[in-house]
Amino acid sequence: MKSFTVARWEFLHRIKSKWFLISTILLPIIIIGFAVLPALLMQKVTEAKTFAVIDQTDWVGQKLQQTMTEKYSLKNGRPMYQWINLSGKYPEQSRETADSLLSDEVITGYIIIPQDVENSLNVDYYARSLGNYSDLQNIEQNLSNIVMRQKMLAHNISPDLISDLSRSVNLEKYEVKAGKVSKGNELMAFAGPYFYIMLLFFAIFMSSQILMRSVLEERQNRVVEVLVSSVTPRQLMSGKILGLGAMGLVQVVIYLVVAQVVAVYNGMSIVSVTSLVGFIVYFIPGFLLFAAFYAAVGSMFTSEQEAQSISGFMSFIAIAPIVFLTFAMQNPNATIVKVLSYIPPFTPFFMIMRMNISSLPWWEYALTLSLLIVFVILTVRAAGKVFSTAILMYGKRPTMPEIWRWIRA
Amino acid sequence: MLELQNVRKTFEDVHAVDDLSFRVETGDIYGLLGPNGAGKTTTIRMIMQIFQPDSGSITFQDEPITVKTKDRIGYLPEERGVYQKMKVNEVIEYFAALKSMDMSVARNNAEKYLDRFELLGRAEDKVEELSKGNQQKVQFIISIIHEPKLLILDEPFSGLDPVNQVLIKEIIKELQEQDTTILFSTHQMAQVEKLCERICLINEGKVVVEGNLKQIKRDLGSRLIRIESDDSLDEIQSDPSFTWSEMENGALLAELQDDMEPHDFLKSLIGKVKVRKFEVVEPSLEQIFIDQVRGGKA
Repeated sequence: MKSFTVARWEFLHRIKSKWFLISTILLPIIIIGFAVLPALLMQKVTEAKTFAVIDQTDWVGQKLQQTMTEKYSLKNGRPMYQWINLSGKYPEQSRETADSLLSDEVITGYIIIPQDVENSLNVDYYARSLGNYSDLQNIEQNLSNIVMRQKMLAHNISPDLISDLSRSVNLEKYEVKAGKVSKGNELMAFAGPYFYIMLLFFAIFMSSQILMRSVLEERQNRVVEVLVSSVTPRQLMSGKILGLGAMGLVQVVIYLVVAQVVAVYNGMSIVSVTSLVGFIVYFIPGFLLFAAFYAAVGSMFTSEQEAQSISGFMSFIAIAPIVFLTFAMQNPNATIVKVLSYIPPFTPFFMIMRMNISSLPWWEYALTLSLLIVFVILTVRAAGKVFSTAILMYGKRPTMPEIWRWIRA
Repeated sequence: MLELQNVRKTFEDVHAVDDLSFRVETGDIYGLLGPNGAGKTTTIRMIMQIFQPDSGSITFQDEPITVKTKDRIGYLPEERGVYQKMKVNEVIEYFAALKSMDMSVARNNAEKYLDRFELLGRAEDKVEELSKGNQQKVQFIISIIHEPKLLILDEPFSGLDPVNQVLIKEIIKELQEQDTTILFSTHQMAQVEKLCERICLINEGKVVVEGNLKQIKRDLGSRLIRIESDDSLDEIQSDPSFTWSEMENGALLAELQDDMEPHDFLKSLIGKVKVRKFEVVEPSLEQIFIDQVRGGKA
């Protein structure tokens, strides 16, 4: 019962904190922001850009203006590009005019279409800055089309026939998982496992780190002696693990909902029953494992700096699958990937990665889970012993042989 | 009633507590005294079931202390702290909940005690905004919020101004009247003399003296006398009945030989000098403490 009192308090206390708000609500917003904002900004362009054309062919420039005015328009329906046609008869004068327009910032840039453009296939572009990549691409592409079309007509070839003949083959992708065929999406195939590994990493390590910090804090401000006069160290530890585990789950749910909303908005789906069940099944023992470990670490040190060296090392375990991700996606059956998913501290990360890449036989789940659970039980037990002994020890830091003796006691 | 019988605890090679026995009757304020490192905190931690004794038994109300018993015990450790980032009333309520308290009762008690300590207006403040002294008061409230049957106070007065020391003393007395058994650990002897009827002085994990404070003083200190007279006391100062004597503000302070009773000595004085005042001086507890601890080591 008292574990639940501790758990309830840890849970409510953390969830009400500013930190939780920031990390839970703000983090996804920031991540989504980074992904969506540039695209949004691009769409938001409301101002038309003006280019000047010095056309020595008499027809290419006109054709370009016409096509691009029809093709590209702003949100308000007006054309995205405006054109100033400078006569090509006196190129020197026209260039002078264009340059002054450019320096007065009337135009973004100007192009010079030479008379022999059909043969030279070369158009010069002048501007103060060459950063407006997409505009330049639009101009280049449309110029090419115009010139190409003209050349085809000159050779009595139907441009429509050519465009029909030169259509490329489309590779339709299907994913076969557990006998089910579904229309695949390469982006999803990568984003799915990546998302779940990151989610697992955040959920496990954020909560475990908070757990460690909470233990350190109680030792530092000496609340711990009052606490253990009401609850046993084990109740304290299990309460903290429960409470912060629940907090981790709440975070996971929030992230999942946000991710799904974003995915659906983009015509995809990231959350499925299988991936969800799989995630929870590996999240719980995974969290218990690291939380127990971090609780024990927290009970042995007095300052965060001291504890950081060990906890930092632990997060490498979680980073490993991210490093392996690209390799594993291309070789989901590689021996090293399989072997690592049977080593308990790695199991949750590698299994969640693998199950989101391809479907696995049931015995792989059964075997990795059993190994993991046995390891979790042993770790929690050992951590409990260390925690109970170390929590009230101040002054000297315990040595490895001492810790080993407590665990075996 | 709290009873310790032949309790032992060894850390590595150090006998932190060695064959310790004492008994605190219900409603008593019992002083557990000893120099630093004597084993007081270890003893208390064993009572609180934070440590298990290697041997011996500890019972409260004739039952071994378990996790459940802890709900009836209040403990103010010497090394104490509260969550700095939490509000005062939240901290108190959390610790009350850990004692399995009914929350409405807890809130009532919290209000009552915060009011007495003039902290009611600060219940919604964060602990870190309180002065050290006020934090001490909050810690004291935490230890008594659940109306414990056994209250263990380790240096409760350290860091408090005299006004609040008196207030805490008052509350301790009130709790005593409600039959709370109180174990009071300190090395501030003056406080012990004012509060405790019985004491146990330990050193290096062993009992040095145990029992009724007045009795102890009588037993250990009855050889010291003080005489005031209008006559000259010079002659008497060299009396062979003394092992040691000294003039102090015109009065004579002297220690009697072991075979000499104060009563008999007073008789022998009559006729020699006009005695205005004759007093058997009780040594201060501090004196006993120092003597006993030094004596134990010698």
